[in-house]
Amino acid sequence: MTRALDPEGAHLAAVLREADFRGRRVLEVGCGEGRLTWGFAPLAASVLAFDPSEEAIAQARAECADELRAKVRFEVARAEEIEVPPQSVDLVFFSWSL
Amino acid sequence: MEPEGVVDVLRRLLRSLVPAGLVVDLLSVPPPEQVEIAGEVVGELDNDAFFAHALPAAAGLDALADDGLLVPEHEERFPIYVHYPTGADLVGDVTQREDTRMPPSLARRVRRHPGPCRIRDSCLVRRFRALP
Repeated sequence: MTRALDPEGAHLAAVLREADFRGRRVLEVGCGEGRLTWGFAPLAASVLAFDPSEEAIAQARAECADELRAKVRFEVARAEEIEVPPQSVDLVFFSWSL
Repeated sequence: MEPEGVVDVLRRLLRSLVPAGLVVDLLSVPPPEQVEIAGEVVGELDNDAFFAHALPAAAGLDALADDGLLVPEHEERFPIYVHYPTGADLVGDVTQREDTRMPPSLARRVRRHPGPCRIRDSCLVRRFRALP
């Protein structure tokens, strides 16, 4: 089956209109396979992206561009259990995640 | 996750934010997804099960705004599309979803369509700012 999810990029365009990711430390909740991560990560200072799906995170890690590996970290975790230090991020991004 | 559980999780996650930090929330919202063939809407999917858990989760941020922890700053509604080469591909994809159903009469019609078709999904993106 061939399926093209939002090839027009409307999701990412809307998110980037909503917030300026430049230089921000981002916590992404429910990142999936990183489809949106790739769009804002180049702008961000750092990204901690997590999702409960081991398969999705494995795909995200495999597809992470070399130039992003130093500042993007993917974790398998549920929102109820992930530990993030207090006041350590500038922007929390939720994508259908809870 | 239960609605009260959502609020607790959100409170915990938001402790990671610096004062005046931003929250961006992206989600699918009603009306239900629409199936389009050649630009014409031919029917709607049944997203009731999806919205039953997605919307209470989104309401958790509203609850925190009501509690004075977040200030809603902006929101925007917009559509996105999922494209398929044939109707059979579309029906096959929807059938695999856990929380979406396609009415049988719509599925029969769409499955017969040999060419491209798409699903229109209504989305909402919201921005909040955390109060110190």
